[in-house]
Amino acid sequence: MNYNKPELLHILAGEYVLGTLQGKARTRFERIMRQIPAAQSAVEQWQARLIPLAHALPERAPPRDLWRTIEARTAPKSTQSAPQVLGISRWRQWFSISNLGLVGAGAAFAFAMLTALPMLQRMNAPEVASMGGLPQSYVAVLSGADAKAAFVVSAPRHGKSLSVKVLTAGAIPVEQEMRLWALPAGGPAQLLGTIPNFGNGEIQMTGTAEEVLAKIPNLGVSFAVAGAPAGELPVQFAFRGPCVKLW
Amino acid sequence: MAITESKQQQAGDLLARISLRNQPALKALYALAGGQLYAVALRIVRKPQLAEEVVQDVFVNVWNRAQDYAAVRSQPMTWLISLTRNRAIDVYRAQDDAVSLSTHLDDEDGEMWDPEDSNAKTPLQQMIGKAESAQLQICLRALEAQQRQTLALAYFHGMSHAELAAHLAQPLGTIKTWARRGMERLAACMQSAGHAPVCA
Repeated sequence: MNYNKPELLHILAGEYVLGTLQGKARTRFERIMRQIPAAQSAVEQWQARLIPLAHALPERAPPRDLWRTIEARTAPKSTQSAPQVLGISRWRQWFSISNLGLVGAGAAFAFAMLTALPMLQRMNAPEVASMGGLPQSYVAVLSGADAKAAFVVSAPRHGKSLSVKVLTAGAIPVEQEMRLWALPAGGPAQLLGTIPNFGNGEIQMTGTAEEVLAKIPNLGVSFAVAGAPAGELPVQFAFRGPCVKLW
Repeated sequence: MAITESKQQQAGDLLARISLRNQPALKALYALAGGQLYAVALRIVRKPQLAEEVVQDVFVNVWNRAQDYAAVRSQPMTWLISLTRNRAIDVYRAQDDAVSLSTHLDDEDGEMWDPEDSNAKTPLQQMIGKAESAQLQICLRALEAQQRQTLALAYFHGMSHAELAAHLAQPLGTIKTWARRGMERLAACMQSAGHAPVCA
């Protein structure tokens, strides 16, 4: 079968959503959906058309014990879900051994991760699909002197673009700009770029995140006079935080 | 039951938290959507024990795959219902007595629907009538009665072409034609009405 024909995908997708595509044909089409975006898109179109029918069904109370069974199957036991909580566990471990000692750091991190997630999810689908957990990324949560998370910076492991999300950076001095720096252990800071428009945006790196950030333990943000030479190292960093591998 | 924007928003927020392995969020999603997903599953598998199994699998799947939701362009409840329908169809198919089950549906579901007769609707017709999309109702009414019934039986009961043929006592080829032409006309009608083709 030539699955590149839109009309064929349209028919198969319709039968798949309706439920009449059965057996091996159904399994085969599910595989095609994972391989061909147009097939997935055709299925989503049919779901959108027909889902109001399912919405019309009156709710039925599930058996009382059903949640308990689900709860038992999803309990975060280390042996059951270790591969998928690995990223988070590393974060927890990092915070527990780090020198932050800041009240509320855990809560700030959780909030920052919630904010970072959509950025992480914009990465290409195969990398997400291969993980079965959070996508492989570099993530940094930068805090100011008040210990509040102020920036979330993230990049897919093999991506060249850094996403910057400003959480609570406060007022920007007039005629100044914010610059993002990689802070190597025992070496001079390396400029990654200027944070666009004093807010959320993307910074293009000279290489992939793996190449640029693999050996960088911390990132920092400084204020600089707008247009000042890029090579001018800052006296201090208004915000800084750990840069970690999320896998 | 109509899905409100608020419910969609809540489900989306909960999925984001579940992707961070937040089990209370999973419990909240169960409280929000469990009843609806159970109804969808029960309608297809028709046995409470099997419906329970389906919903259980769906929530475990959501727990493990919540991050996948970002890769699809559906509304959160559409994604959840689709997961449930697909799992229910698989479970239903795995039953040896699937055909005999489907041939013993409620009698009302086997009746032809006269679109001109607004009185005494069968349960199946009532469900179609309650479809929250007015455009979907209009387009379903525009189908021939056999096409409409074929689509509704397949959608609500997960019947295959062979089961539809047995249930409606029609040749397999006729059933396939009704289903395919019904779907084509439905899609054309929804599209001509400007229905957004991708996002539910």
